[in-house]
Amino acid sequence: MKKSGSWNPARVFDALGRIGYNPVSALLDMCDNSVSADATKVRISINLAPKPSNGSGKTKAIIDSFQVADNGKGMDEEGLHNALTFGSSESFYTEGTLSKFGLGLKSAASSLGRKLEIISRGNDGITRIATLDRDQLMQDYEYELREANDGEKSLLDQHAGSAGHTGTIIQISKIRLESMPSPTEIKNRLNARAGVIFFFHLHKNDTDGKQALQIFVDDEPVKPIDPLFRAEISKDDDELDEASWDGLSVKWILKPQSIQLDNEGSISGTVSVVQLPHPPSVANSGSMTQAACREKYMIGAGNYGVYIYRNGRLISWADNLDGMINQDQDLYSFRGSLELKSDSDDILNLDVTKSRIHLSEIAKSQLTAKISEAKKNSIKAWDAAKTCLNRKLGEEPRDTINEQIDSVRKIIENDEKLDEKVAPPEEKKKLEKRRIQAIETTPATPEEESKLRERAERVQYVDSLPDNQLWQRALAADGSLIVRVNRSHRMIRDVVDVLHSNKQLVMTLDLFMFSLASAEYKLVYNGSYEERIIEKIMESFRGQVGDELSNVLRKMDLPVITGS
Amino acid sequence: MARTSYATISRSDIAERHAFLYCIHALVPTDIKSTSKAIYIGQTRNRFGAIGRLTQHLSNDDTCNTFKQRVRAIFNIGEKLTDISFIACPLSPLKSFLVDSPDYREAVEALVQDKVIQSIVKQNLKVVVVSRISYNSYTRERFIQEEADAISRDILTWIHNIGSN
Repeated sequence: MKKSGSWNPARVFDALGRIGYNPVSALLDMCDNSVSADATKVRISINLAPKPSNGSGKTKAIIDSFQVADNGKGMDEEGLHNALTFGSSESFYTEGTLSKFGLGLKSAASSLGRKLEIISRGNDGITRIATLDRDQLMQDYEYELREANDGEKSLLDQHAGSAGHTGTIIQISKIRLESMPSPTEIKNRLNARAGVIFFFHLHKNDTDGKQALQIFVDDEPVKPIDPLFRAEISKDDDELDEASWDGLSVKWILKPQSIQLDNEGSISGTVSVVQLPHPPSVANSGSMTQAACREKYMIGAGNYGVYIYRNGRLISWADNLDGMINQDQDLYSFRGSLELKSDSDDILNLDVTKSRIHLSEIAKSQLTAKISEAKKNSIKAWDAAKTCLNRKLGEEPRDTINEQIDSVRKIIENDEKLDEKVAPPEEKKKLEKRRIQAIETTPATPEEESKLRERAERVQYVDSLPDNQLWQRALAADGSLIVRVNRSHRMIRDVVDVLHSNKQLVMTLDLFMFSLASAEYKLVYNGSYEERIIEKIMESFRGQVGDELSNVLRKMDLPVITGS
Repeated sequence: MARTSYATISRSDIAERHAFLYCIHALVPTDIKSTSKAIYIGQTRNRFGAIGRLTQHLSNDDTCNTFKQRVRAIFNIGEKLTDISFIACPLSPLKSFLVDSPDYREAVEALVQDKVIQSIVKQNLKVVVVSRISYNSYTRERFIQEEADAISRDILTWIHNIGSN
């Protein structure tokens, strides 16, 4: 035997208001309906009323109602009925809609207040008003529907743009004041969030070149804000060079790339990552203060991560992608975006507030490597910007150790020259030949020579060395020794770079690298073996060390490598 | 006949110890009626060549059958894979690709996987890439990029051919 269940509409209405909305997310969820209804203008208003003095003699402004009004396509009687149905019909949702479960309007409204009124005029030209009052809900779920009066029609005309134009006003009253932030707080947060959340809609132009959507918060237009600041990326020099970034401009870490989201390979998303400016470097350049830079680029604890968009609407602000993006101040400039379509809703388990997703296994597997590499590069770039700034301020540890090595080395090299000068003719000839041979075999590039002259750089980090070698020695034309270190080698990327903040360690490792090169040079210059053979053995040895180190590090579970 | 497997191998050097970038294509049964197409991209310098590595992937040895493990993780089902196809592309005979540490081979592998995914998504080929990659700085080297370009072209042509057969 089947029996009908029962439900208490008033309690369900209250419960829906507690599924995770705050006033700003609730109001912006209502904006979604306006965008889905092809509105070009949406106005959010916070209407205030004086709260009588409570013996203190001061009147306080409290929120009387919230209003979201638009000039979209409006609703006829059936549309209004659907809007007020719990779990409204999917047939009302068009492709690209920002709606999902048919609960958004009711639950968002319930989180704000106990009375929801909808004034709407659809294509049939009749203006109707539907009222759902939680205090009137008894055993049955009922709302009131009637034709609007002249005052209500004229109010809608103001928002619809002209008399008789379609449009909708959503009004919530009987506000739940017990947990409501102040009106100013709500307004400020709306202004800060709406421009980011609706960036793609606000940024788009219609066929006449006009802004396709305008949103106003209490008459103040909302400006589109791309949290990745992609428009600022220079077209000529757009990719981040994490080793030498000066921290002054926005760069691509990962240009837009597709990833697969489902097991059939038919649903995809697009991921991209940028590096935002480094505030201390920007401040040092004089273009703006650190605070202004942080404010402009929203650089701060709650803002780094991945911004997830669904059908062009932000659904998750600075998401950590199921823990892929850890808490780290050196990631403040890391900002990514993941753009999805509503075809991925079920795969990614989109929740009712449309603010949380759970990545599928395939999405995780394709994103993990990209995000992990992007994070590494972001941290490295942040460090490079700090180094660049420290250098300007004379506080860079690598400069310190280079200067010290250089001063010691100059004495050694001078002494070698003196020894060579006073050596018996035969030995002198041999040493001279071996020195010239060494310089010719491993010459420094002009760029390396100038770094040596100008900054006494004896230890020079280079993008790559052949065959995974970790270091390689080079000699300037005058015989000054330098060592090149392969910054692409796993040892540098995964171990040394992670420990960059330890200045003593950085200096010790640089000294160690230089010592390896200096020992090699000694063997070649005044060793007793044939120099060509030594060179061959040394080259093979360097390759072997690089290979071994890389293999061992790959197999080890060092905390510095795993980040644990 | 249903239990019989067929294999056609175009060149015997697939069994030689050389550096290879390879791709496995298989049908994965997702329920009684339907299947998904999965591909796995990898690199190897196996003692028995690319075919030796394929053997490991299809074996029941969980220390090396990564393809089967990835299928299990993603599709949450057993490993009854059918219609398995395999392509092995030898890497250029450079010392960098032949050394023990796989850094250079992995750099090519990462770029190839990226290119293959971009192309699959763009052309809506309905094939899912289940392999995982790790990036390193050698992906910026020109010779790595050129190697990846050439190999991804071969792999994509091969995927198209499988789709049209």
